[in-house]
Amino acid sequence: MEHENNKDNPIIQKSEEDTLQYTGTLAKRNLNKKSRYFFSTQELLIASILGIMGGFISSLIPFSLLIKTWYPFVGGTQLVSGHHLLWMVIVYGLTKKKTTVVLTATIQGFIGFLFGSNWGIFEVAIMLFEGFFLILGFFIIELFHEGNSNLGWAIAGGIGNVSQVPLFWIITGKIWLIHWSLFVMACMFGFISGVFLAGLLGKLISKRIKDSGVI
Amino acid sequence: MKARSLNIIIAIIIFSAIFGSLFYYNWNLYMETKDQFNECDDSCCLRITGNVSDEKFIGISYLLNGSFTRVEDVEFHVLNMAGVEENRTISGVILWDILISYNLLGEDAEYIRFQSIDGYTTFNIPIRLIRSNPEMVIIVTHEDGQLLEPKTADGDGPLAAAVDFDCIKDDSEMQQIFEDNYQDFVHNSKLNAKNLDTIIVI
Repeated sequence: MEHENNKDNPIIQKSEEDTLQYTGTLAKRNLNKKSRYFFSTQELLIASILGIMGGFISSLIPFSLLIKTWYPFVGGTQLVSGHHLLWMVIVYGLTKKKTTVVLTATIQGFIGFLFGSNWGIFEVAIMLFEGFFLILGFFIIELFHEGNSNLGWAIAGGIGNVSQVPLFWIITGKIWLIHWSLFVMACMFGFISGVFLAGLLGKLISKRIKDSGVI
Repeated sequence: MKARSLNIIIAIIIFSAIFGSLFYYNWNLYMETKDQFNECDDSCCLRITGNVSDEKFIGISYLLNGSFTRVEDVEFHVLNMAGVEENRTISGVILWDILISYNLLGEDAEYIRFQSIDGYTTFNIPIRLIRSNPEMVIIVTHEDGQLLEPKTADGDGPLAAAVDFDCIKDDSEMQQIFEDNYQDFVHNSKLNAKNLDTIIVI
């Protein structure tokens, strides 16, 4: 009996590699290891857990207290606003999929809505807006080959967080009432917060989680 | 030194320089405003300025001791820009009573605007609305029966402004003011200034 050329027979080729991975009707469909699902179960779990944690923490803990009690000008609370983005950075660090940022942002926004956010259901849109700019930030740093560096992640976090400053100031009308210098300072605070609280801290946490072997 | 590190340092220096100069500018403005409150001989004062017969500082003690007409535990209907509604139970002094007690308003005064300690400013509010709905525009001293905490204690006080939504909702001039400020609909959350320290008459 002639042996069939293994290279031509995908079933035999596959059986030489991971014999237990795909069986039955899935064997033929998954031979090149592509799942028919966009997210794996693990990615869904990670994104959901981080989104829920982010929603709880963002809604319940008044981080702005750290600033409001001493900073005399409007816009100072932007210095701690990066905590909204932290969870999306962590999920990207753990899954390396930018679309999980969207998932986490949606869940986080929805949890915020359920906790009675002042913005109501718009909270979801706001989180998605921030998530979109975070994704944009990661795309930009990858263009400059900084996708794995601390600097790159810091800048991505900064870009993601600074986006919400003009958003809020425009939709609340503050931008036309308050001096432009305060707006610029608020943007700078937002960027700094995104750099440290979102970018750098998020990278550190995701690295530690990966190194621990939990995921 | 590597070019990348040098670029990072230069960027940080430029960033700090811009921030420092903006902070210095605003700090000078803040100190000038604080100096203007040297005339205040109370722990906290409400300053009324602008198109007035005489700039006035009203101490919080006067606002609390019954010198002016107060409203107690009234429910103010608040609508914010996301369309979320709530009711607040507040107490305070009727603003119109303050303005006429001292005969402050200039002859051609048409609007007032509230300003907070941190520089936040509200839209203009027509004085005719305050005149026709005096109990709907108040200087808040208490909420839910409790004295307002100052900003340093994460409060909205010691003074705040409150304008009931029913006062402005059907007014065409308010609708125009909100439209001119790129707002889709009239809502009173913007007019309820926290940490109030100044009323500007225009």
